[in-house]
Amino acid sequence: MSSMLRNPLRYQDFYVGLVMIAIAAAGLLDIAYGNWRTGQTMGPQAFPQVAYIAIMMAGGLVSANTCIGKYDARQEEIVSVLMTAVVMVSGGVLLFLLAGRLGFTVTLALALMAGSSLLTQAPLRHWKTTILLPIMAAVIMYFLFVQLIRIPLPGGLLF
Amino acid sequence: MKMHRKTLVAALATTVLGVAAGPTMGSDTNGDSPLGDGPIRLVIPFGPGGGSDMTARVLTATAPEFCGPRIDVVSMSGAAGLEAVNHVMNAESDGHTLLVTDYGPIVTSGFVDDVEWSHDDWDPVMLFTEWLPTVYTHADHEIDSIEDWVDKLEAEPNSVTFAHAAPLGIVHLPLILFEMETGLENRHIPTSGGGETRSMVMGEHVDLGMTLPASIAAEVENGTLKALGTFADERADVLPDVPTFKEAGYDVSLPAWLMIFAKNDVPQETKEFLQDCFMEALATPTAESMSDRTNAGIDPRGMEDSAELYHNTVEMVGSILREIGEID
Amino acid sequence: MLEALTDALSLALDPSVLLFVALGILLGITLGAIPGLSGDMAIALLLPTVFYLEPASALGLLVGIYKGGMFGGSISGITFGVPGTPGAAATTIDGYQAKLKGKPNRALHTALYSSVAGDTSSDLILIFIALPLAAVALKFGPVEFFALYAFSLLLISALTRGQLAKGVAACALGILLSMIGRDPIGGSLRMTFGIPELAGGLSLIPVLVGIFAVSELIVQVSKAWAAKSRAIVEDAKEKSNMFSDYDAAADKLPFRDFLKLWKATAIGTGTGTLIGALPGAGSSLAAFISYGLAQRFSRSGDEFGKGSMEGVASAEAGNSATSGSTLIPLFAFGIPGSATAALFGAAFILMGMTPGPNMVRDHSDVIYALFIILVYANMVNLLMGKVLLPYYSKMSMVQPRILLPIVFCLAIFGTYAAGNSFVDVWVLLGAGLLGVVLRLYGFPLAPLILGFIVGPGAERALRQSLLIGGEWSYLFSSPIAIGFYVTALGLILLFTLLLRNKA
Repeated sequence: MSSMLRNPLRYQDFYVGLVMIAIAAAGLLDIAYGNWRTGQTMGPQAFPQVAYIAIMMAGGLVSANTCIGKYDARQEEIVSVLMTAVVMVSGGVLLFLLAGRLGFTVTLALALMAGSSLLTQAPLRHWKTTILLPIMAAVIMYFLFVQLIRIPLPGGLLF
Repeated sequence: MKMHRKTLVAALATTVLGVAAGPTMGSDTNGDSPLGDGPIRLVIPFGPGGGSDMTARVLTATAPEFCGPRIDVVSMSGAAGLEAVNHVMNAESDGHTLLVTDYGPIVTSGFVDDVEWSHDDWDPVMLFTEWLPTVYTHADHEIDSIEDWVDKLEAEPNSVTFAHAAPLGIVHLPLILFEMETGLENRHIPTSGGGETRSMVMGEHVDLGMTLPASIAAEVENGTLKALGTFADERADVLPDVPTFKEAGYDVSLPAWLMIFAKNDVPQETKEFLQDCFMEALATPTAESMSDRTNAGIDPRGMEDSAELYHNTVEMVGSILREIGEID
Repeated sequence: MLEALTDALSLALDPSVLLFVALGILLGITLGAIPGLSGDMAIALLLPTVFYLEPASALGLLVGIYKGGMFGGSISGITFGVPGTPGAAATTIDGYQAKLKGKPNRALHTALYSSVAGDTSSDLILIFIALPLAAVALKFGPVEFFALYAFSLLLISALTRGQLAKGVAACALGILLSMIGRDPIGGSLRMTFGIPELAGGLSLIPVLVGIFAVSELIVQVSKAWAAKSRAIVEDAKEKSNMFSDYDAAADKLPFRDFLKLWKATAIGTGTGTLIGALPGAGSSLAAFISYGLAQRFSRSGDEFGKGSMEGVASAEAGNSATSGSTLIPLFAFGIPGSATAALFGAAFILMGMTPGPNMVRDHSDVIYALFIILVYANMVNLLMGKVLLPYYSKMSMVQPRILLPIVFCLAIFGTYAAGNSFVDVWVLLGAGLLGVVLRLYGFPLAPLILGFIVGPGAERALRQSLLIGGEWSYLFSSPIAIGFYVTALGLILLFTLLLRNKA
């Protein structure tokens, strides 16, 4: 019974459960008051409604479980992984937008150089893999995507 | 059937180096072309492998000789086809990016979707063909004709299940029109597309379905399916024994055309050039045999006829949608 | 018949045809291994070759691409944790774990053998018992499909490690994501948040590649970054060689070891063949169901998710076993049951053949040739796989700092190329972000994909059933549907009892 005495507020999963409940509640409110076309035997809202209810119940269970000592351990590197995610996703958006404006091969080569340089210690000393290889890879991808598959991206300013 | 080594090498080369290498060789035959060097892209708002794709590919194979540049078919089915339409709308007005579509993504979407263009922003360049929506059923079904269907519905409203692809699409609107005209009611069963409609009809899970003639012609001929009627003014070439609804006494006709569109700010000269070279290409024996093989029934018409048809369809679809309360 | 067969043999075994099959497989494996790109896309790309090539050569090329692509998706799944195709997602679960434990070669070979085994059986079924199986497939109407989809939700528990509640929530989230866009029955917009581009809904490839692959890449980049800042990477270790030390010889899969996986492979093959023959169900669903069933019936079910070779074999066999049977509705009724079948249908039409039962009668030489190609292409696939795999295993050991940026860029442009869609790229990146968040907070990803695949089909089938039947009891009007429900109930009872006994 000692586990019952645990303070759930100390555990991440307690809050994860609360967030799940909140999200599901928002969704259910949207279905109840939002612009949904309802009224048929089974309308378009039925499946989302069931899904929200499932999430809400699961959230309740996840929160409750922390009280009896069942929870997932908090991952140490949460902040750094999330930071990486934000950087990479914005990098991806930038890369894709620039590829159609600046030119596919140039953008790609630059992106690959930047990427491998950031991950390499003393990038200049390893110029073969941080400069030469990215350029080669960009050229190969140019042949694959632009010449062979012919993706309909605009040509862009440069090559 | 054995292939010579030379052809084999050439074919391998075309395959490996991208089908690119082939058609570029045919350029420079047209000195006074208003088009630049880049490829012409025929953008289709559907996935690859369907009727529009295959019809457009007839031009890929035949038109470079007459138009100059290489011709690519680009399939963009994203956002229910809207992405294709927007892609063409946002492209440069140089006649290199054209839209090949039936009326769904351009006429119907123009009414019901939140789009930044209006129907007048588009000009047809030419028309490939008119597809005639056809009602069909399983060979053993008790309904044998349009009359049987109407009788059954009059005896017991809502007693017939009717499968059709996406709501408000080219094989659903004719049914709505028919119901508006007659006051009859069916149970509408939307499906994910022609294939699902067909397995539901063949598996006898529903009574009737609607599709385009080419996809059932062979089965109607060998007797596994029977076609009841066609929503058009004239009978379909591949289904010569199937009456039109007009013949049966119902004035409902809503053919689904397949047209090539350009933005209206593409220079008139360019549009005319494209129309001429496409029509020329489609008149070649190669194009005709491809059209026969694919059952595409290509019967090209120029931009004036197409424009008239386009505006008629806009009006007609608009009035149906208003009637059923989809738009104000 | 005999004459047709000899004609077909001489067509199919022509050296040029063989060459095209090999070329197709090479292309397929390579493109399939790139996240986002799949065999389907490559087939669509090379469809025009039917204008230039002899029918047998063109079919050989397309069949080669298809088979190569099926297996190629698993290569990147196993080596980088980044499934190249939707069908390879289930293979990735255990395949990547095995690689992390230093057994990429073993996992790759298991995948190759089970892929070829599943594929070959499925082709033989297409050739010899297409018609009876097609008749069963036609019996699947909305009622039966709903039962199948409901049954497959049972697998959530097989796909979840840790808290089942989180697995259920992930699955529900997948269902919600799949509901975005136009309601397939009524046509009204749902959950598009006023963004017109979302009207068409989210496509499978960007969601799947984003959730599985991009999130994996992000986690790996984060690790590589941390390693760099902690100066763990020693320069001396890098030397001039790009490859770190990896001893391929220590990581072999003797064929008799693979034979021990016969049960998992057989489950995958059976499930995949059946699901493949159903129009619209798809190879990713087949792979997940095979994986779930194999786990249920395995003696070491606990090993699943931790690098189990049974997991790899069942998922990969299930995925590949759809490849022959997906053509069954096309041959029997002219119904394209999948995107791939639609493309093969288009190829037949472009060659002047109408898909359907008449095709076999009217063009027996070409169709028999196709059958022969389907079977021997598997052997070519096996051979080329055997030759290429050592290199792929080695490639998986290339330093992440070089590889990660390349794979990330490939995923972005590969996804774009698959649908030529900007929206798909944004969805890909968004799904990547979502995948990272879910990983960090202990949610399993596979149930989300299951929900995403099953959701729309289940909803459509249920609402169609209610429209046709008018009342809920209609759902129990079919023996096939009742069979699914009874089996599901039986499985639940059986395993709760087993669990209780263990405890």
